[in-house]
Amino acid sequence: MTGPSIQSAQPRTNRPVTEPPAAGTTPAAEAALYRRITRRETHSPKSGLAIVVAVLVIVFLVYGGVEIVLNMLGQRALVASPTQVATAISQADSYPVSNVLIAGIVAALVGIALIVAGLAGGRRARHSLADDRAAVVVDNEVIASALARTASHAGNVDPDNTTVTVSHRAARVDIVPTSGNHIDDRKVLDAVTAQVASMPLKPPLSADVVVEKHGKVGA
Amino acid sequence: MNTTNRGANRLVIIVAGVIVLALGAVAIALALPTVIRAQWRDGSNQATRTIVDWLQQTPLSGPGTSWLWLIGLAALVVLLVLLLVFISRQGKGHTSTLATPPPTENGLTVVDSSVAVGLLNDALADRPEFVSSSVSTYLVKKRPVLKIAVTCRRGVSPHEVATMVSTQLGALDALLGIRIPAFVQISGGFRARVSRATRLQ
Repeated sequence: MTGPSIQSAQPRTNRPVTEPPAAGTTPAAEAALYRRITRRETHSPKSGLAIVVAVLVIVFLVYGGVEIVLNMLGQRALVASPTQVATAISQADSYPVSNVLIAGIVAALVGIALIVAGLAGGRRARHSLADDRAAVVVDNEVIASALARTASHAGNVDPDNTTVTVSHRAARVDIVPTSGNHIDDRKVLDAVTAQVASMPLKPPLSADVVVEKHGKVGA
Repeated sequence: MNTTNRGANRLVIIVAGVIVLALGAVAIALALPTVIRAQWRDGSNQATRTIVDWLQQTPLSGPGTSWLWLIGLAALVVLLVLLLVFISRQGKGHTSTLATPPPTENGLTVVDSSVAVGLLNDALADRPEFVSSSVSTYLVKKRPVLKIAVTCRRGVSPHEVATMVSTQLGALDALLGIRIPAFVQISGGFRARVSRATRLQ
C-alpha cells in the first residue's frame, strides 16, 4: 500500500518516544468504550421508524388542536367537531360489520408490527473486527467482496461469476464455472477458509463453497 | 457513535404499537357479537354524557365552552413539544474539541478536532483502495472519539484496511502525544456491473 501518511515529528530530545498515554483513561475504560461503540454500530438505532411514528402523532395532535380551537371559537369544523366525533364513535355499532372488522384487523396488524419492530434486536449486516488501536466495524458486503476476489483468484474465474453471501455466522461462495474449465473446489475452499480465518471477525464466520453443476459459455 | 437515545426510540415505537393494537382490538370486538358490541351504544352514550357534564360544570366566560378544553390543548402542546424535541435529538453528538489536557504552569492547551480530522483525511485521501473516506469526532460517554468512515473499492480486504488505518492512528498518536479512542467503519459502495464483459477470443 502506497500513499501519503501522517509524518510524525522527529522525536525531541526531552520527550521519550513511548506509547502515548490515553487521554485520562485506562485500557479497561477504553475497552468498555469500544464495546459500547461496537454494540451501537452493529445494531440499528431505529431512528427512521421512530421519527415516522413521531411525525404521524404530531400531525394528528395538530389536527386535533385545530379542531378544538375552532370548536371553542364557535367556528365550523374542518372535518368533524368534537361533538360529531363523539356521536360517530357511539354509533359505531351500526356501521357495516365487515368494514369495522377489516379496519380493526388492519389496525391490530399494524400495532403488532410496531411492537415487534420496537422489541426486535435490530442487528445490522455488519461484523466487528478485532483491532488493537480502534473499534472496527465492517459491512458484510465488504467481507463478501474480499472473499469473492480470493475465491475467483483461487478458482480462476471472473469475479462477476462469483457470488458471496455473508450472514451473521456463515459465508457462502457460489461459483459459476466457465464451460470446459474445471474448478478445484477444494483449492477455492482452502483459500476462502484461510482468508476468513485471517480476519479476526466477531462473530467468526464459517466458509462454504458451492460450484454450480452447469457452467456458462464465455463466463 | 451519536447520542441518539435508542431506548426512547424503541419506547415511542412500542407505545404507538400498543395504542394502535388496542384500537384495532376494540374495533374487532365491536364487529363480532361480543359483550362490547352489545353494550357499545349504552356505554358510549354514558361516557359522552359524563364528558358533557364535566364541560358544563367548567364554563369559561359564559356557557357553551369550557376551560377543560384549554387543559386538553395544553396537554396536546406539551406532547407536541416533547415529540419535536425527541425528533431533533436524533443523531447528535458531534464535538469540535479533541482533547483538553490538564493545564500546566505555562497555561492550558486545547486541541481542536480539526487537527486530527485534517491529518487523517490527508493520510487517507489518496489511497487507491478507498472510494471515499471521512473523519469526524463524536462525544461518547463525555469522551471525544474519532470516527473514520471509509468506503472501499471492490475486493479490498477489510483486515488490511483496518491495519492500515490503525497504523495511521498510531502515527497520529505519536504526533499528538495522546491516544484518542477511535472507531473505524468500513463499508463498500459497490456498483453492480451493468453490461456483460466483452469476450475477445
